[in-house]
Amino acid sequence: MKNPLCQATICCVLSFLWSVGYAADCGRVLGVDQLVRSAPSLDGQIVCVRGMLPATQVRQWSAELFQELLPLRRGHALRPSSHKVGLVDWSPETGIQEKYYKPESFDLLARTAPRAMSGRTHPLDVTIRAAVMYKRDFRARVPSVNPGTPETEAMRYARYDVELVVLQVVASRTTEP
Amino acid sequence: MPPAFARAIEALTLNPECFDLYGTAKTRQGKWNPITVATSLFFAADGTYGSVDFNFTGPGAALTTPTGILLPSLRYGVTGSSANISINAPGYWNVDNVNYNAETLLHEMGHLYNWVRGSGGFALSNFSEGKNSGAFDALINKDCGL
Repeated sequence: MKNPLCQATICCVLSFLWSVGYAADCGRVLGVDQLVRSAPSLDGQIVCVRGMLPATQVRQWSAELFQELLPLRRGHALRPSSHKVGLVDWSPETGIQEKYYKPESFDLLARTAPRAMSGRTHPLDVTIRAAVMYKRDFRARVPSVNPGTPETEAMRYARYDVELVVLQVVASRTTEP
Repeated sequence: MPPAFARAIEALTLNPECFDLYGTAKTRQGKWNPITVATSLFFAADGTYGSVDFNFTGPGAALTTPTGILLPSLRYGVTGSSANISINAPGYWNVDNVNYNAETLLHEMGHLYNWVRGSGGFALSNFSEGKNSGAFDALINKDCGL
């Protein structure tokens, strides 16, 4: 395995297999702006979306709350998009079949998320598989947690025209420089 | 902790209806077998499912809260990647017999199942204690023989 050509070939093959797997896993990947524009026609469908996932620190619980997905920042855009979509974890109440839910994939977020207690809040660049909900107002149906925190209460009152029932985390990386 | 842990494992092992309170048939087949979870939490303390401490000073015997990666949930309010069980040591731990301590462990493990995504949940919602504060205790006493 000391032959550089051999190593390069293996790297290429692995990279190709990864990209094929990635594409096969997701097919078309939408951006957040694209998703918001197409949401009325995508209502109820399962899609892959890539965006920026900011964390809200919940210090009381040593936790980080991920509740919305924003467009990725593209270079030096003069007018950054203001689109955002709300996130909801899968449960039977969402009406989506359980077979699509891959909770173990959420470990990817834990591996790449900044530590809650460190005070750093760099958002993640994620690709998720999710069911699109257009004007369903799911967030209004999130029950109050007792005892809750200011962050979990504020989350219940955020409203979005487009919401995603998160089924699987396909890819995640930190945007930390 | 060891005697209470041993009693909790005995209750889960000897009472199928107690075992079945935790998760679903599918989740119990894998990572969420309640005996595996109890062993990880109360014996190995390896952090796989969450953590346990004896620092709770609020009202009641214990408090379990979600930790790690949280997402909004229509069923639970919020779900986490793990949970922290905090027991009120001065007021409620070792004040009665070993069954009481074991019941506390199994009770809080029920809350943990409800908070952590992918577990399949506990037989009762965390909200059931809002209507009947003894709901978890009554069910665990009955089905786990404690």
